[in-house]
Amino acid sequence: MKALRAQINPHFLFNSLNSINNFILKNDTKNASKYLIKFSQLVRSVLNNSSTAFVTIHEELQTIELYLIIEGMRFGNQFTYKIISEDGLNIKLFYIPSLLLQPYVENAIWHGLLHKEGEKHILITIKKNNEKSIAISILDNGIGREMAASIKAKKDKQKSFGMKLGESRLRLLNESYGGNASVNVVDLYDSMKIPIGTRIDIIIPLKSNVIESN
Amino acid sequence: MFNTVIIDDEQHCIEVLEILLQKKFDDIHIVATFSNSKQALDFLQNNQVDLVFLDIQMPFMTGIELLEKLNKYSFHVVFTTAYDQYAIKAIKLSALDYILKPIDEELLEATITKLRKVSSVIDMKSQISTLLQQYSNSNLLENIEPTNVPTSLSNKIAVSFQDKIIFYDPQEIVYCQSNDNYTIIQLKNGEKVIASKTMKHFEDLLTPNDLYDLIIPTSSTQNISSSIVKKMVGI
Repeated sequence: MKALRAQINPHFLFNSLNSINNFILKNDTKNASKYLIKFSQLVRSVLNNSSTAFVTIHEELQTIELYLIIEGMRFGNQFTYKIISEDGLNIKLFYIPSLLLQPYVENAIWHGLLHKEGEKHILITIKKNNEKSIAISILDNGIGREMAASIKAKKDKQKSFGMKLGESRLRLLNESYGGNASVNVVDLYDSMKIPIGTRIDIIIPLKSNVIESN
Repeated sequence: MFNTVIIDDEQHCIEVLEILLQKKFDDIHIVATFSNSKQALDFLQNNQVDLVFLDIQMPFMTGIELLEKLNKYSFHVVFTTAYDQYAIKAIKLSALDYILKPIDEELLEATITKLRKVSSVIDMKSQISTLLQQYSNSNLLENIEPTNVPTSLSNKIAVSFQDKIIFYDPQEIVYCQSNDNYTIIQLKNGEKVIASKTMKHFEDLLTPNDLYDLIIPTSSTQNISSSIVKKMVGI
């Protein structure tokens, strides 16, 4: 479980550093400093979170926001994002597996949004599903899975490593939760049956105290 | 004067290269930059250039696929990549050049110096076809665990000499021996060739298991300090 959690795309790391180097070369010290700090915060939280199996929802969302800010920097702020958690849900109280969301968000950016022209948006919402579980959804208005798959099939046969990682983590998670966690991918269409994006629905049993596994 | 094109899906990567190239190299003339690989392909099909800096991982089309789509061309290619161990191995095997991001100015300078030295146009076509072969082999591997890297990706490796590139099957090679910046390669047919790459380069490409299975008496290899040898026995 630890080995899987520790994964973060090296391509992402090095391109982020290149992006910061660009600000330095252009004497844009303000942005160089800003993104260097965001980048180090992200690396720190990934390092911290990869040694704990569970983090609070609040911590996980902070990590995701840093990730979104840095991906935004790499792509000239081509996309916008919003993270909404339901009123009354104490996100500092509940725990979810650390770095659970990042692979799905990465997938939404890379396979949903970057292939798209025009307005690009990611919406992450967190709410109580019932008394025993929470629902997290990651919605993008990208090109949709079908089109992304056809581009990928044309490109190569490589599977999205991030997604695979998410699934195998979920499997491990289910083993420790007794099979109550789930991930569903929903393809979204408008009234003309034209793809308008993808939504990932994750249901996680509520956990208000940390029981360290592994 | 090298008419140069930069292709990278991330604008900041283009900008960094532009800044570094314009700062130091008067003979590098940037004629166009593209963050869209389709537009880049279109441009390269209709314009003659000397040098292309090419990112590998891009949406729609990888840099390697872009080359595949060009029927013929005569420019030099320098791949730029943040991290892609398979692609780098494929590039090394085909004797093309690459630089890693973030870009080190000194390494960029070494690349440009090398480019200036290449007087004759090396057979690009065979280099590229080797690259494509290596790359498609490596792409079959979905898992990125380092332990899954095959010892030999394909049949042939490219060996650069001062004025040419020859493709050898590792099975034709008995051992490699370091000689300053050169490497002496002992071939199975008794011939010795001197490649213009360091021993390190071949150590990255080959493992002893790739080589022709010949038992070499230790007495004849005592002056081979750091070398790739299949098997050694004392006599």
